[in-house]
Amino acid sequence: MLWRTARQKPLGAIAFLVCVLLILVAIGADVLAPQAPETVDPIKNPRLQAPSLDHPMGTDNLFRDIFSRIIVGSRISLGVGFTAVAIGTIIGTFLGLVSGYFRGWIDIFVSRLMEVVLGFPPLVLAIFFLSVFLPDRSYSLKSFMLFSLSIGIIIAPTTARIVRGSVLTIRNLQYIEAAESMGNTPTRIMLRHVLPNVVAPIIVIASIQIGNAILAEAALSFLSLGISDASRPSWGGMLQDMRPVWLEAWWTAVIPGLAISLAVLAFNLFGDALRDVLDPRLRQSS
Amino acid sequence: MGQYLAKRVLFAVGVLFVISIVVFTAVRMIPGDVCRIVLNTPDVTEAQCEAIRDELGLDEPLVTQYLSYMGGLLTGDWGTTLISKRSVWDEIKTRIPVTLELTLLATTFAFIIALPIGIISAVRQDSVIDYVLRVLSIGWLSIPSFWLGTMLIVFPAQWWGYTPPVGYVDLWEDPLKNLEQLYLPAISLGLALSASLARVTRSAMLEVLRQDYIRTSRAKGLGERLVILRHALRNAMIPVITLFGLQIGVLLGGTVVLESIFSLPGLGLLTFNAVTVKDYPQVQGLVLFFATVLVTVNLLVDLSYAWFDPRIRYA
Amino acid sequence: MEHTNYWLRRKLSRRTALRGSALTGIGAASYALVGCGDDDDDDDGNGGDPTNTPQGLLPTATSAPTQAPVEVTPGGSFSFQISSPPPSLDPYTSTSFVASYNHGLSYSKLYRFAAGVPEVAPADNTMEPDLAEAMPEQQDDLTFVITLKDGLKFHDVAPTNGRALTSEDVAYAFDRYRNLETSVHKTGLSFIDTVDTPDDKTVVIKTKAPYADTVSYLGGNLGVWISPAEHAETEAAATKMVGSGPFLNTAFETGVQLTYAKNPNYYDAPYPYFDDVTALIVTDQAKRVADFSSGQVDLTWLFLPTERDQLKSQRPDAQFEETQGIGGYIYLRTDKPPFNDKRVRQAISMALNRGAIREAISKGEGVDEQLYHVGYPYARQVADLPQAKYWEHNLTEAKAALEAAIGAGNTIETTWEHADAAIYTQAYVDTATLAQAQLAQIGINITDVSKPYAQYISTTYQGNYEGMGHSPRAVAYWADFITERFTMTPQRGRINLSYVTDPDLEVLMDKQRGQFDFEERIETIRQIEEHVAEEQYEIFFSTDTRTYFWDAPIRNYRPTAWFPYTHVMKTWRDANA
Repeated sequence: MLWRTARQKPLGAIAFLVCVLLILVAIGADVLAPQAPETVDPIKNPRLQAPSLDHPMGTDNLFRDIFSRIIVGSRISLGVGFTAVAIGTIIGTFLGLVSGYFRGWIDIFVSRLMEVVLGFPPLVLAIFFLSVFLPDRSYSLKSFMLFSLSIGIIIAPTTARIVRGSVLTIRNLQYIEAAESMGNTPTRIMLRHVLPNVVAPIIVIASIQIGNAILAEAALSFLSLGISDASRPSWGGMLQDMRPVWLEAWWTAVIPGLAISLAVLAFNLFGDALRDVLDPRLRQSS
Repeated sequence: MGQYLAKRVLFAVGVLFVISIVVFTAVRMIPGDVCRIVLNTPDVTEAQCEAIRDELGLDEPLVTQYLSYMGGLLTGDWGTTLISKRSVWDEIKTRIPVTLELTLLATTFAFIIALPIGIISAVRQDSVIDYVLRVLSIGWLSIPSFWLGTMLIVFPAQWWGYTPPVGYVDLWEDPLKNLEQLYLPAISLGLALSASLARVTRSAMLEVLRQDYIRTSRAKGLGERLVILRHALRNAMIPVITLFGLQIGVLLGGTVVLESIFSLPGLGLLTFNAVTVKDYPQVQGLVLFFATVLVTVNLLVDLSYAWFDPRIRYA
Repeated sequence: MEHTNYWLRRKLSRRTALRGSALTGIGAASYALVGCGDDDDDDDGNGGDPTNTPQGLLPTATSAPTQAPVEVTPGGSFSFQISSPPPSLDPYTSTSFVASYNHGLSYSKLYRFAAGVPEVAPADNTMEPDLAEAMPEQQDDLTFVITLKDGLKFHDVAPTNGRALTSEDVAYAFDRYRNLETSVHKTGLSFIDTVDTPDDKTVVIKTKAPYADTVSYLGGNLGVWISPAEHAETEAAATKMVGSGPFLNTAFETGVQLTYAKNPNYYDAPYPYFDDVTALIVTDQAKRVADFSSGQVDLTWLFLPTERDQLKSQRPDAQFEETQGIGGYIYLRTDKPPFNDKRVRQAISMALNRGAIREAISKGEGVDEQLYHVGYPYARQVADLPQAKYWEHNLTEAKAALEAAIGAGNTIETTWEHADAAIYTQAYVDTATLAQAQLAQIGINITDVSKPYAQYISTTYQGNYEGMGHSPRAVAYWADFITERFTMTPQRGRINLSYVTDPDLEVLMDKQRGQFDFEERIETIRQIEEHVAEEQYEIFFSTDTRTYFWDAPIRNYRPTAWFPYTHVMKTWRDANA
């Protein structure tokens, strides 16, 4: 079955492999990176060396090995991507589930709540959120979570909309009525009977949103709102920090840019393929 | 229909009301002493701070401040900027045309690129060209816009000594110069949109092309081109327009990045500058303005569904 | 006069003397430096023997080849770039460097910098009369009598409508600077006791104590622009300038530009030469470089060597000059452990590899180790200080000093607060990144805290921080700069970010403030330098180079290390070039 799917969707299969690879890199970053990312060493890493055998991705203007930084950078870039999507998906699924299941005034309330969030341009909302809740930017678990939350909020309404739509179609099916008539609590019905049936669209939309979250991290880093620091780089932060030397050293612009594009591309293609396989009806809504 | 309309408009007003409270409260939660931001110098005395807080009315209870702010909004007084004492609304008003033009150009660019790609991909489904176009457009979706924008500034200058003319001019003042200033940021902004539009066009076209009436038209011997352009495309546009409606917010957000790279005096650059210097009244006014625009757009989109398809009755 | 007004004396260094003779030889329009008039700037400045030639401290290479003398052709327009919109144009209630660039075009002061023309080095802090007719007549150590020029007029636009500028206007301005509740120059000008106006043309300034930097303050860029009451007290003061300067401020389009037109009634004829001046607001550094590359801007500035080299290759025709750049310093809480122990501070200084930082940020260029009076003819190289070893990168010594202070095997965990790159540029943030990596090597582990500019200015830069902080600094134009950083007494203190309480230092600082004899004052300043070098109250990075570029046909322009751009009035465009 897996093999057949892979044959049908070769692009999706390749994208899936790339995604897995990226995740493995992020997990094993400490072992894989030849140097600690914050290593400043004018002798080992002369300033702005073009990619070579010693430095497969060259060095940056602060005597650091870009390859090591790209590898460790996957942690924040993918980490923010996954965490933001996890937050957005949990919030979105909860709201979509509740409003689709109960309908009535709860649905009205949740829909209005989503409209409040959709009332802000996503990037403006994130900027606004960060300037209120994260005025000092140093890396910590708290700042990481707040940063991810600022992107997660942007993501939640889309998930909620899709989950609500799916729940509404399931809601009227006989087995739900049957479960209700057997005296099950709404919580139990939602978790046992409704949720499993909307898992497919949730997975699909989540995988596509990971790419958007990675791009959002890059855009916020450009606006000096990122949370990366010397020992915890991010791809977006690297791009922005090296912007003054892009012309002097092409690889400082191209390599972090490619890392971002590759990850976004892989998660998007994978999500696409997954959608075709799991739920062809979702084709229109992305 | 009338009742539905009234209900929807009422909801939208309610949503804006909630947004205004959220924004107003959040702005006042931003840490940092306002007076030190206003004075922007190391030697500040407590008496100076007192004078400034008094001037800004920050000693009043929050509710009083909110009510007087909302009262002002309704009479067209959006307050003044923190440091330069300009009218917040005048600042926003003069920037609207720039951002409007930029987003319209980006949208036009996106559609010009997206529609042909989507159609060709759908008609030649699963062919090599379909694959190439799809990968290409997903590829565009994966380029950070500030990366693209910077490249478009840096390399033409390096290779040909070319940059768009400096010093923004209005469209009606000098249309050619204006367009030359805007086309690069519009491309940077529109590229990602074109990718998502192309993808939706493709899937919507595929859906439509399977429908009975298309088969009927073909059977009637209509030319393939006619079938696709006249019948299929028209019907495939509904999901495309829906997606576009959802992307307007993304476009507006994108202007923050691109206007600051290209020095375009639009709402995005204003937002960027206001956030940088913590000009609270300006940030507050801008966020509320954006919210009003988006809530109105969302309302219109919803209403147009109901108009076109009476079966739809959203709660 | 010889003994009281040292600022009147122009010090002739060897190089200035050479230049002087060259100027008489080839005409006043030329200012090519003999010996480095070619394109090759890299071996200038530090390559020679900087300690013997004070001017050698300033990399003053110029690409302008010798030019034949030409007639001044007035007219035409001129444009330059500023990096962010000035938050407010009101000189009384705000101060910022972008505002200062613009103030100089439309407002006047009693005195102004002589720098900005080819004959004067960029960091030469000599003042020349502006509204004043001559340098002040000093009756005693406290009294400065200033006579105004004849025919001073405000701009011929509402609300001043070309009315005469009198001593009353000067007195009004000083009163407002010193007494308005929201004035930002109260402490800066607190040395003034009274400002009297015996007649329309005379201003008498009395200081509270003998203060040798009085004229520097009257002509410096921190306030003291004379903005008239009928404009200053209106809401428009923040967004428009109406003064008596060489250019009329015609518009301030936020986010786009500030525009200026020639002031036809300017009191200092034949200036200004240009008909129009435009200050373009360009936030993005890459775009600033690109816009000058494509020849759309006449003047642009403050580029690090990387950008300088790009611009040199893209605009080989343009004129350029490197100036003493921007340095940075670390401030720290000397009022509590662990930084109250000077050995810790000395260890930090010795653990810094300033050469590597220069290498990373300014291609190894810049002025080496410097203390306070960077760029001045009398500035002392650190190498000449008895405490020179604290500037040498020496991990062994640094570790030893740290161990002596906190015990072997212990580390220091602290924070380092700084602003993000948005206003102070990436080079400033990069300096912090490198320094933190270097300090980790001796066991000082730093949590980096980056703040948005406004947040930084309103918290950290007010002294509201723990651990360490880091700020850039420009070249100070008044010798007393040093005092303002370390005093706990409110007489003159502005920012004592390191929380220094040091009675010995206080005595020395008070002493130099009243020393009008320059040689004597320098003696005291040298004692202060040695004291502060020993204590390492602030830990200085080296200073980079920043390059200005201007269009080939622009004449009689030279960068200055100070903000006011009044001297653009002396600049003109050679129509025959």
